[in-house]
Amino acid sequence: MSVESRVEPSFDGRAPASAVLPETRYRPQFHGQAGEYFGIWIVNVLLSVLTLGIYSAWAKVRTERYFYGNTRLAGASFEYLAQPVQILKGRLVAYAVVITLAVAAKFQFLWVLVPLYLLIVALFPLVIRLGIAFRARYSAWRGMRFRFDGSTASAYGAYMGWPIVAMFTLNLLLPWVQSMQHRYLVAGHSFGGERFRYTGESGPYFPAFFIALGLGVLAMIALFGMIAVGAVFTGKQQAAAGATPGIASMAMIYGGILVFYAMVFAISIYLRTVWTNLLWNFTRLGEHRFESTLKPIEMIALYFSNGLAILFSIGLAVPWARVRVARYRAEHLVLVARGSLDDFIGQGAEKGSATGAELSQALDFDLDVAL
Amino acid sequence: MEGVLFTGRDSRPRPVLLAAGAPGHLVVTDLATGEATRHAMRDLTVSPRLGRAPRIVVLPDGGRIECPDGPAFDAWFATPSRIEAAADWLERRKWIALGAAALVALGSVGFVRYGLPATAKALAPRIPAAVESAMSRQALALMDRVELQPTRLPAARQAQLQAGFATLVRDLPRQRDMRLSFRRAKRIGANAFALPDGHLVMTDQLVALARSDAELLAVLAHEAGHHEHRHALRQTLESSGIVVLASLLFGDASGSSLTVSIPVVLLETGFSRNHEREADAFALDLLTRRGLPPAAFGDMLERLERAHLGKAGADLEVGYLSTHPPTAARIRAAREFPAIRAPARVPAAP
Repeated sequence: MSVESRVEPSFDGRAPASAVLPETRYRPQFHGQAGEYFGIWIVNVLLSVLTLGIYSAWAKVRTERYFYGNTRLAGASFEYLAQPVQILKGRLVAYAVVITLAVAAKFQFLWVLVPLYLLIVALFPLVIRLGIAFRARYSAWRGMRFRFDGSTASAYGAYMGWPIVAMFTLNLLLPWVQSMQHRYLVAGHSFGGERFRYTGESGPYFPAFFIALGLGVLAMIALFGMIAVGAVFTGKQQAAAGATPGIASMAMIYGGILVFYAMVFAISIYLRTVWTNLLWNFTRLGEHRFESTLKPIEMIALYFSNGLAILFSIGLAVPWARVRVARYRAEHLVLVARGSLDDFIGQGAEKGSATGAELSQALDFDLDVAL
Repeated sequence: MEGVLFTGRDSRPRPVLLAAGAPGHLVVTDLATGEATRHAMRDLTVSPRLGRAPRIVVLPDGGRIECPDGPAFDAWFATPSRIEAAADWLERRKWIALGAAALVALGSVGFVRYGLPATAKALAPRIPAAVESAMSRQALALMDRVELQPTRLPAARQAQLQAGFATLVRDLPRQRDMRLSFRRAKRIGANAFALPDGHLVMTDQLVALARSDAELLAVLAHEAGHHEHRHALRQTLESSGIVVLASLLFGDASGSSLTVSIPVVLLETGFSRNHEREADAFALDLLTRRGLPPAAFGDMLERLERAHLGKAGADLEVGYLSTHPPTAARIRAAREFPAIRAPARVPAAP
């Protein structure tokens, strides 16, 4: 036995020299298949339509369970534990709010619209916090649930305060806001008695943001260029013949708009991809860390081909598209474990007063707000 | 059957063997220690079946055993959820998937083409008039603030057109609601629109563009057609229906909202075009009945098209262009419209 491998307990009882512990790389594997998921998805759609949306809660749970259950990491699959009735409660609340908003907006009932809208804006960070906590509480791996205990005050900072501050800088501080939101998200989570840590700074978020801004300006120039060319053609034709303008010049104008939207879509995917990589690469769980290697260009190709397939199949390609995304994401994430993954400790039952428990049970539903 | 036990107290995987013991009992044997535990089946729950996803057996002490799916589960355990068992049965049948896909596709197309317009048509007359007038007041107030200026037409000219309009819409089923206003619109240019409550607005630029009053009355007849057919309300109802359908179809996908919004926009312009066709037919019929030349409508459309396309490149924001697309087909239809029609073709009131 060599001298190095004898691990002396340090003053806090932990194994001290992490360099001694071997690193193991675990890549998540996604086993879902488009054909199999198509059957699940189409039945979800059919039953949701036939039950006027009631079944969509069961559909959501089965979908989540399918993607969780088919994702394996280090020999165990993930579990989605929420019950359909909890999802249904949340959906009913969300539907009620959305329908009220839509009706009030259509018919310009300002005395309903304005207060409701303000209320939603005011509660937005709280809703986000509850949503994150719900998902964490009902996600499990190796028989243990995740936990999220980020504070409401911090949620208001990350999702309302700092974005407002950034607005005053013409949103030039948006990368910093994104980093603060990632910090809130990561540092609030824990698993098996071990807290996730966020080791990042906002600096690395900036370059991609400025590249995206530059590309956005290019997209604007391309748009106005094509419109200008189209307009000049239109004008010339009118002056020359007094006839209606040709299809070519109109195609130029509408083509310009189409190209612009495509570029904006691509730029937003680029930025999201780079920032997602940063989120994972800055995340630590105990001595373990993550490596995310999503490639922006591949993500753009993936989302564009998915979008086209969905559009031209009147939606029937959705299952195939979702499975592709899940597989790609799994293939580009690595959990770099330092030491064993077997040492997380279960936290047992949640503590808290009876009122707190009752209240959280009453509020224990997922509003299902997509971020 | 082999599985992996997670106790919930730590994250260590413990390979186990599951076997049916005495009737109604399951024996879990730890493969490392050989230690066996006996559980009554009725104390255990198992996760519902879903594709080839692993099944989870939950022990009374909170331990969870992850196993690959297999036929033993159905033999050993009661169905965890009737709804999910039925869903699973459906999900595993190829012909159901294909049939459901066809049904969803046909159903959506049928709903969009026939169901939704019919529903909107039936529902529109039941919406209280107060809603129509509230919508109209708000919309016109907004337009007056941002796009429209007070008319500069001389009072005599206005009175002349008002008189022509009154004769035009006399005896129409919803004539009582209809009134005409004039506005100047520097940015929009020559145009006319119908608000949901029967308030028709015509721009000074349109009056200037027309060569004859018959052409102006033709446009008003078209706008009156929108009101008679309650197109504003129907459009509102139809687009809400489309959004609901799209979110039902793709809501489960929760992917990019772009894939939802593009079909919605395409379908909405489809409804709008149908309404234009309906209003055109109404206008041509009405003009004929009043002894006005239907060709005047075609002439006016052609003039409008020239006026708007001339500046289409410079000013793409003319949204009205897309809702009132004067096309060659519409102009031709107006010019070829027989001047004398059988009385049976009098437009039916909705």
